[in-house]
Amino acid sequence: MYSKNYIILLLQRQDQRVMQSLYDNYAPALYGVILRIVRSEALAEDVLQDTFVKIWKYGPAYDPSKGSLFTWMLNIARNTAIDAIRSAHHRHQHDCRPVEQAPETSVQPNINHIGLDNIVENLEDKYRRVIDLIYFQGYTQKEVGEELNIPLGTVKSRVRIALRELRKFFTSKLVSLLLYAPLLLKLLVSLG
Amino acid sequence: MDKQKFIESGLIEQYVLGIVSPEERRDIERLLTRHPDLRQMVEELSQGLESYAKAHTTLPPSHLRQKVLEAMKAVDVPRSAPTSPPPPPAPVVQRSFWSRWGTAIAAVMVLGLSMVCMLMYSKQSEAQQQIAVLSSQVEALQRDYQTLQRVDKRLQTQFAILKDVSTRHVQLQGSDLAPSAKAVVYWNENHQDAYLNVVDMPEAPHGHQYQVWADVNGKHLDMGLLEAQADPETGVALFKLPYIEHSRGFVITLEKSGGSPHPTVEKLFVKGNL
Repeated sequence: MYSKNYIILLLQRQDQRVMQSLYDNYAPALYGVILRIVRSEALAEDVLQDTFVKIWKYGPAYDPSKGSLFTWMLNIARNTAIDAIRSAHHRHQHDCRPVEQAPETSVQPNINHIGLDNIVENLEDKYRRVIDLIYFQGYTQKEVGEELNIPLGTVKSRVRIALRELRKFFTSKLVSLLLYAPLLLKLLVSLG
Repeated sequence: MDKQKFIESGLIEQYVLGIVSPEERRDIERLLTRHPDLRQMVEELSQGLESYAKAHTTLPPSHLRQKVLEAMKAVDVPRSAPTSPPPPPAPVVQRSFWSRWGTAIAAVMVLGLSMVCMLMYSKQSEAQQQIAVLSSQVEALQRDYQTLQRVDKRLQTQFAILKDVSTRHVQLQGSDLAPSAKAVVYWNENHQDAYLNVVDMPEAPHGHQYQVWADVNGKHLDMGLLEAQADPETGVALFKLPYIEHSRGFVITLEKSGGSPHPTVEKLFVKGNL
């Protein structure tokens, strides 16, 4: 088990020893997002494989100062997934945006099937839709407005609120961790 | 852009989502370098978004793992030079018993051996010094022995002459200058040997020496000067005299240092005849 910094170092040097750690640490999260975008397990498997090949190929180009490793990999996964959907629809002579045809309700069973953390449940549906379209599917705010039939200003304010809610949730997790820290310490000391 | 306006604009959230124009991105990143609190806010928003993405975590089918890893390995990685593997994180490395104690044992052994070497070296130089002392002592003893051998030979010879029945003892009596003075000449015609034994003579004054003469048909022939000591090695007061044939008697006179070709009769100290 390597530390995060060591994983980054090995990835940048394309050291094959890091491959398994990379997959085991990040494949489930990336696969979840990919599945959310492509909504087909068969296609998601191909996209996950392509994603990891790209991660490996472009590893030396990753710059930690520009963002976290996960975000960098997520961008690759997202772009790969979106490209896969587009090319699949091109083959079927359809429009390039599958979600536009798919009714919004069809997404929900998938999410339930995946089994989401309460971080998602805590986020109101109207915010979640905006974030999903932008963050996972690469929509612009204008495209989101058109897609959901709401004004651009509303899209922008929902983006803002959604992110602040997520941030709140993240920091509250940190706070609870800090509250538990003394108890954990006590436990460790008593064990030691 | 003003910091407060920036926060209210919602641009920071759009930046975190990656949906800003390149110009906006440049402006924001410039602002972030000046305001650590904004950077902190960006950090927290990103973490929140990451948590949201991770909340969708779904285990991929298990057969996929091997397939993906093989696909990664199949990537032809262009390498200008073989990259050396980075050093593994140091604290994770567990040092074995032997690597930990082996070093200590080896160090102690090296220390011990070097001490033994130093001890042996000092012992050796000590022994060399002793050898030098002993060999110089041996040399001194050899010299002494050789001297004693020489002395012994001389004494044997002198003793042989003295005990020889054919040796004649010539008493030299003191003159008016020194009535108590006395000396003996041992004269041996068979071996043609002659010795002088100074029994009692006043000490020669400074710048003067006694000289021995042989009386041959009324003529005084030089028999040599008397040194302060007859034989410095033995300390025995027997002077070797040259054997001069037809000697009838012997006299000793006091002469200036270095001797004279003719005896100074006025300074005759002892005299005796065969």
